[in-house]
Amino acid sequence: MSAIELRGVSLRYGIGSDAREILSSINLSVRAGEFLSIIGPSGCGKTTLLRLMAGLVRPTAGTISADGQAVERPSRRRAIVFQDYGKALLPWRRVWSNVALPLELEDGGGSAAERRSKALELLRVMRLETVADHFPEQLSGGMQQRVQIARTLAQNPSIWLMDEPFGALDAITRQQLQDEVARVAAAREITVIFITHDLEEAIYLGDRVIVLGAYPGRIVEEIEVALPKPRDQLTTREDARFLRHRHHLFGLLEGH
Amino acid sequence: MRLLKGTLVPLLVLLLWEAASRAGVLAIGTFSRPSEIAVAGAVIAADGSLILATYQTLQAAFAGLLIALVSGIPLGMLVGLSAVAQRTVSPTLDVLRPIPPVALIPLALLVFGFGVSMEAVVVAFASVWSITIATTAAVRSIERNLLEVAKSLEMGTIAYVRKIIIPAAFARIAVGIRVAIGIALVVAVTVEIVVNPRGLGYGIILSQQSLRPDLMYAQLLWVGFVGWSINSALSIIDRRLLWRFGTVRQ
Repeated sequence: MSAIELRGVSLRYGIGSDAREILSSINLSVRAGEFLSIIGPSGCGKTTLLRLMAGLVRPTAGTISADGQAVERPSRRRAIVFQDYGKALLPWRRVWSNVALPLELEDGGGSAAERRSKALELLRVMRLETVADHFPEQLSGGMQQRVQIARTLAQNPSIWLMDEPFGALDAITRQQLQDEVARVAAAREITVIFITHDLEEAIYLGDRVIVLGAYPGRIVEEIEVALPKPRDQLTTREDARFLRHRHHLFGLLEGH
Repeated sequence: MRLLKGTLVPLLVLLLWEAASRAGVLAIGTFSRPSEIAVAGAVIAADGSLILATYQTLQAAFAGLLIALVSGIPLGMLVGLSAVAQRTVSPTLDVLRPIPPVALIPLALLVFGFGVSMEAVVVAFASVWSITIATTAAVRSIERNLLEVAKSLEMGTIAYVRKIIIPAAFARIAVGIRVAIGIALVVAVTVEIVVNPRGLGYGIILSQQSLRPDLMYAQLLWVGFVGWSINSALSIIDRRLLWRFGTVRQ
């Protein structure tokens, strides 16, 4: 069973001559445990596609299902990692308390002390245990994004929907987080849909890369990334196959 | 040192005032001497009447404020969160808001008679607007992202209000409440001066009418001091609390 399945999914806004087609007949099947990168020029509807999968937006045509069930609304099992980490965290809550938020909403979330210890455990996974009692604003951007990722882990997700999560981070932090996300996703068998505008990041992380074209948004290319896992920031990026993928997809993106 | 510099101007004014009065430049029936004012103040402080009047004024001010809070915050949230409420309720509020609160004194007197109730109601009407407007603005300015975070966590309405809206809006609502507190004291004293036979305002007008300007000045200075104390206390609370809620951080 595929983790996410899109059949003929289209989305348009407006009516009549004002109608704009944002996404056009997207067919996509994501395997359970797969790391799928989606890349495309700005305005191609990448983020909209992710929001459709999340259930935040409904398609005007076609069907979307996740784990065998029709997607009609957001679900805790499909955790969203927003690009704008600063605005996705609750600034009045300490780091551990931000991470504990999903636990508070569960029946089996446990007592306050249990929630804190669960949150601390997840913070350890993201190497944040030393800043558990800080407020988000006291942290660097990379650490704030780690906090958001730790919070989604508290949802115990089967699918991670990541919307350019590292777009606002510096190169070194970005590489560290790439490896951490890959490690955690593999260890917890989380299916990942990863939106990015960075071609190398898409190839480096993905089992498969999908290229979207713009106006209207549609799938124009799809490649399986034949690189061994776990990936390595030096050797993977120097691998001949990595470079071949890069050349191939770069040409496609340039074509727009 | 800063405190010393801050008291320099008032001290100088008092000295000049005293000197001018003793030199016969200032009419003693209008401008009592600072020394006489001090004596009058000491007398009403000692016999307990100043304390009682202060209690009465603050009682009405805070009762009115409480009414304004419990009606203004839910109302502001409703208007801020619901487009339907915005369209149906806002026009009424827009008509009511410009009514000068003191114009309601006769009506309040008619309904409640003299006493704390009528005063509290006028205070509530005067101070509810800043709370409602601040709440509406606060709720509207909540990050859209936080709404989506709530949705993605399948948060129910009650949890959303409790865990996201109230804390996120808290700091801005607090600013509205601060403004309301200032208004509350002003209006309470005004109602007492105009009609209500209780509290500091009544004391001030009574002293004036019974030709005791020294008493009037003493109470006037006291009202100023009470207002200043409340404001100082609020500033301290602000700095401690608002930091956490993210408005005074940059």
